[in-house]
Amino acid sequence: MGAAATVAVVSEVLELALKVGVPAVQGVIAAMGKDEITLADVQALKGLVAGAESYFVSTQASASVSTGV
Amino acid sequence: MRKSIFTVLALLALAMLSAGCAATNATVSDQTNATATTSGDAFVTDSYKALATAGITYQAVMQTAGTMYANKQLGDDAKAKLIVYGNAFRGVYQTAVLALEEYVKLGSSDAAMAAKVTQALADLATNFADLKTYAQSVGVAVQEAK
Repeated sequence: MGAAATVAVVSEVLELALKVGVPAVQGVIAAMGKDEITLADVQALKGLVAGAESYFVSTQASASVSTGV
Repeated sequence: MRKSIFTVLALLALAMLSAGCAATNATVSDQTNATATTSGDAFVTDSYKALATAGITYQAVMQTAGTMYANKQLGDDAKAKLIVYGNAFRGVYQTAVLALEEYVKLGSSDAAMAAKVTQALADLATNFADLKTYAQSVGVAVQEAK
């Protein structure tokens, strides 16, 4: 994917974030805004993805989402 | 105008994974030639952003799938397959994160580890595409907030 296409996608994400404020979009934007990545940042990625089963364990609510990358 | 955030996130994740692979390939080449001293930072940043974007998108997809299942909008077969695709993605994701962690610990100068990160990101793109394709086929889409 070329740079122009990437910029277009990022612009669309920003537009949607302003419109709906979805945490997932906000998390992506936070990650995109990082200019320096530390070892702690990388290690924090380990906790970002939970086992797939965990999203189906409750009939009341799905797994909590943390987008604090 | 109503758009699926899932689609946008998926596109972004694939873009980031592609960019990450391209950047890491370039970095490995640079390191092999020992010509760039700052390429390691770009390698780590691009790889991190690719992983973070993919991970957040995975969260959004699976959370939506879980909610749909709770609301009986998804059957047990779809749930079982999403768990298979999801855990496959998770395994490759964790491999990529561990490789990037090791790369950073080594001081961003190990070409062999950089190659491992690059391969892991390529594998992650494949697994992510599988998950995305199946999720979309059963109607999983992150809904816009009201």
